[in-house]
Amino acid sequence: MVNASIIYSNKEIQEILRNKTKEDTLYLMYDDIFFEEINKNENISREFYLVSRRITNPINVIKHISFKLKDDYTSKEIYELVELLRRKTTILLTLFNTKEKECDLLFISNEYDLELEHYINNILEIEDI
Amino acid sequence: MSSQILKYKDAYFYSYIKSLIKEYSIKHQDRILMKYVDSDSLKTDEILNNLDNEKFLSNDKLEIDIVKFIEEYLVKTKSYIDFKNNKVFILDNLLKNAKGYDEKGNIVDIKLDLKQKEIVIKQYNESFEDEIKSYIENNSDEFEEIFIANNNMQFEKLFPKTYVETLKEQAISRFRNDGVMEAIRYGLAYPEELKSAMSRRYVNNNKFKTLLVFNNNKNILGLTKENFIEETKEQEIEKTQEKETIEKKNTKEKDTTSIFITLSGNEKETYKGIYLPISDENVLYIPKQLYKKNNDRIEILDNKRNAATISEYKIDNEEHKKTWIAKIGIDEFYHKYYRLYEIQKEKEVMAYAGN
Repeated sequence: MVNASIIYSNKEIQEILRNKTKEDTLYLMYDDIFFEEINKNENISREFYLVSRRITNPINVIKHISFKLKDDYTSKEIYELVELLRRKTTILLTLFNTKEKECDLLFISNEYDLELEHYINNILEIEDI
Repeated sequence: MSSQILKYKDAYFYSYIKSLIKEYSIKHQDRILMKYVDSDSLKTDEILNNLDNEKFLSNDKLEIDIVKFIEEYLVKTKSYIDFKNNKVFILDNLLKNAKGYDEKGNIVDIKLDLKQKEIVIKQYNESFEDEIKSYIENNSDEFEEIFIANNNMQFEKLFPKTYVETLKEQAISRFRNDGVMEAIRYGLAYPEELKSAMSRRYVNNNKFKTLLVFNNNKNILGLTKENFIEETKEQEIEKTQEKETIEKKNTKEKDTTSIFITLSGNEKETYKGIYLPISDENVLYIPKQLYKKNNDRIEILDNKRNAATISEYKIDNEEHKKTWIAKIGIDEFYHKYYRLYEIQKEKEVMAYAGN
């Protein structure tokens, strides 16, 4: 089972972005409809902060969920999952590392958080990290 | 009847028949016949002697069948055939408007002597089929200039960036390998909608012009310094001033140029911008700062102070992934993709129309 964790500070976001936005990782910013590969030396932090500053308000709680995939899911399948999740919540950033088969979501917490976790656990056969 | 009156009658009759032939040439858009009549090659005696024939006169000789006279007699005369084959005369205006690059790479006027004109005509005759030659000779408003290209690079430089790529490649290949004269059709580079706003260099009589290019790869014309017409200082100053005025005006106008696009319904708008599909594999992404949306229409704002740009992406539908290809300027966007969307360009057109 995977659980979403609350982000308490900007430092935590910085940490996630630093560790997870490696070269060749695919990212999907907010409501974009296509994944894009992170190039060498590319930093998407600025773009993320610009978007999140506009989308979120001070009372919002941002959560992070990270999970590893057992099988070789394509980015299209991950996109379809994100599309489903978008119906329940606002996903600020999706990161998909195809080599590590690892997926990370930064999203705005709401009453559907448990449902979201449930989706991820059920739709994809995942293993805890 | 006095001989004076007879002379007057003949002159009057001659002038009347000439006017009928001219009318026919206008009606049939036959510029060669028109020029032939204007050149006074048709003599009074020739008309009087040959028209007085039952074939061309009917109804007790009170009606003249001018069409029959032209088609069965006039155009078959040696005088007319010689005239028709004398391309130096037919293409006189074109040959007077020869241009080329000087040593510094500036486009200058070139004055050809009679021998050089004949060389140009020889290449012209060998390069085009009769049907095309007839079209060129009857559409002198479309073919106003001839460019003397001394090498392949000079020829390639003449193509507008937006020219249909495959046709450009074919023309370059023929120019390089067959040593023939080629034609650059501006209608293959610019959209029909822009015609009314374009300068005389590209459009005349509401027709896109075509530039004939003489293949001087082996310097068969033997051009010397004497052929290049130098601009006088006054002309240079005049041109510079004109250029500066146009540049100033363009800069001022381009700050506010807008393009309106009617959306097809296949576009996807996100928080930051809009994706316009341009093929199965490519999309254009226009950031929000660059457009205003109103129902099924967006207005693209070409504001030079805006740092945002339109980007072209390659789409991998299998992976639902995009890969950035290039930035696209507003003019490039307009020229490249005007066929895909219902696009209306505003303000720039107005500025030109005001000129």
